[in-house]
Amino acid sequence: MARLFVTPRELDLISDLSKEIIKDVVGQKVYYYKVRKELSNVHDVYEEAENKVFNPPVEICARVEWQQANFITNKFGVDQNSTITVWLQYRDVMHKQLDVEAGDYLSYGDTFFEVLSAKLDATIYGQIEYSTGYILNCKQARKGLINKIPHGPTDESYSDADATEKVFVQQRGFKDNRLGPTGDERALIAQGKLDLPISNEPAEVSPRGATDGIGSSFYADEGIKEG
Amino acid sequence: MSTAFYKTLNPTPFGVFDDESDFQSDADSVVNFVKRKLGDDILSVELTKKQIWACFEESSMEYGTLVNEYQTKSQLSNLMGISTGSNIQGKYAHETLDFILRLSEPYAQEGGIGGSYNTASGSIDLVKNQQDYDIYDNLKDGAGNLIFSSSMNNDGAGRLKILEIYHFNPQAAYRFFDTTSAINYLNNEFSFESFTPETAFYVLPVFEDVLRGGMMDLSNRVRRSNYSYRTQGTKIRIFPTPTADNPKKLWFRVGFGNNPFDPGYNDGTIDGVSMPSNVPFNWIKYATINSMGKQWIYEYTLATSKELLGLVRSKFSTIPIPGADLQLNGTELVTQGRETQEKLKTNMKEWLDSLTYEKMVEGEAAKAENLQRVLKTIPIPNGKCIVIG
Repeated sequence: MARLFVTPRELDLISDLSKEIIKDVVGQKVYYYKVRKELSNVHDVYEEAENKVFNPPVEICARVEWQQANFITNKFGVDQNSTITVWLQYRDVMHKQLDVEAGDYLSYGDTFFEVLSAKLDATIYGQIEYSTGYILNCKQARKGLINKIPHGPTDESYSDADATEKVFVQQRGFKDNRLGPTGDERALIAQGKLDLPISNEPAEVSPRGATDGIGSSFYADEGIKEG
Repeated sequence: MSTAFYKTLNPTPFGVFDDESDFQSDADSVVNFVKRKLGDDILSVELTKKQIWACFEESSMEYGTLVNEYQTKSQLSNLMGISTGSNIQGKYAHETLDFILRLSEPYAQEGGIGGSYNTASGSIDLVKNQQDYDIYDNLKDGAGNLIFSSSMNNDGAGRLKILEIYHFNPQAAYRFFDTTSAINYLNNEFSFESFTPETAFYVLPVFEDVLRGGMMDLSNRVRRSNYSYRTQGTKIRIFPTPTADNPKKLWFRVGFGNNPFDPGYNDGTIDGVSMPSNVPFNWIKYATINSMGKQWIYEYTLATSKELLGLVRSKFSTIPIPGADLQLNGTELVTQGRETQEKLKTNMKEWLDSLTYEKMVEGEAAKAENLQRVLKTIPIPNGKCIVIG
């Protein structure tokens, strides 16, 4: 579509809407582990570091397409192989100063994955400088390649405190929400074109305010009196 | 913290209500109302405050327009001709007959009993043995000036209108009092009126005299008069041919072409209210709108905001997001917003139409009739009272 009709303001709107879907509605997230190549001892022949050094994980909202695991039986036995496809919102990656590339790792649930490829998803209305995000094709990492404790949510069968996500809090362009800093920025709000939401805090789904025994509720009323 | 209405520079497009404290206060509340009703607590509503305030102002103006339209329907006939300069919005005018009387003026003019345009009288000097005269060339006023050329005929488009020709014996009264009196005949010839000693008076209703006088006058003109005339174009032919050596004058009363914007007097109402567009109804002060009106305004603001949000979201029916397309609901919002606006306006118009003065009078009449019907059913307690109806 012509630049005459899709101006930076429209691109801000599109970016904000896609952020809203991913961060405030879908609520999927991955933990991204960036490999520090300069600190890892890369093998000269195999060009792979046996012991990799990672940056601290970055929690980032994503759209994740999860595929069923393949089981391969060979002379070494049965091998489970899971793959996922992860989409990251372009400006979210940019604001988090994350450099996504093949070879990095991420965790989704209780599984760690290696990023096989990191490509731009699509340009926005053909404007080369604007992209919707990144598409990461990931394959389950072999054991030993990354030895970290996965962050939740993982599986409801586990007894860990974060095994299930009991509290989902929107971000909505607030710098902080009840869970801490969001690192979120909505372009139209940042530029003063739109105001922050009329509620003084992002809405959340949580046990907060659920006094009826349901266990969780949609909590969005500012100023509610808690017991 | 977002900026309050009163601190915002040019918060609304027209600024009609910007200085009213009630409007300022409601404007901030309306933002919350609209955004909350459109779901902003959960998902973004891509409307700026100024957009919502524009809708709020538009709604207040729309409300004022509908109410002023109603007031115009009810009162226009009383307001025609008044000054267009001073605001009369919200005032309760007294009923007048000015509009009806103005409509009846030309009929009065034609009947010679009123009207707004001056007429002139003049005469033609009759000449012995001459039957034909040119009215335009011969009709003169008392000073001897041609009436056709007078300044009164500025707007006449070059024509005179003959209202009356006094070519008859005007003294009908002598016949009324005593048709056989020789003295009356003499009186008539010598231009005395009919004061005769043998006149008999009866005590009769006045209209009897008036009707009889008129009847006899007409009878004299049609049945008994030897005097007649015929006009054609600018000419008049009189009958009989004057035979006296020094004939009398033939008197006329004439009118001129009527310029509707220049009557015989200086009429200030011509520049007054003449149509709905110049009735001096200003915008309704927001503070004077009651709760019913304000609720309508809030609802209409929501509807227009919804339409506006729909237009924003309609620019792209789908937008690309990572790995998918996002379908926007702009079209639905536009449709819903417009339908609600139409419904609100229709309801409002119907309600106001049922309250025009005309309808109120009808309602009062029906109420009175119904009351009479109800009263008829009330039994008279032992004949001790009288129930009317």
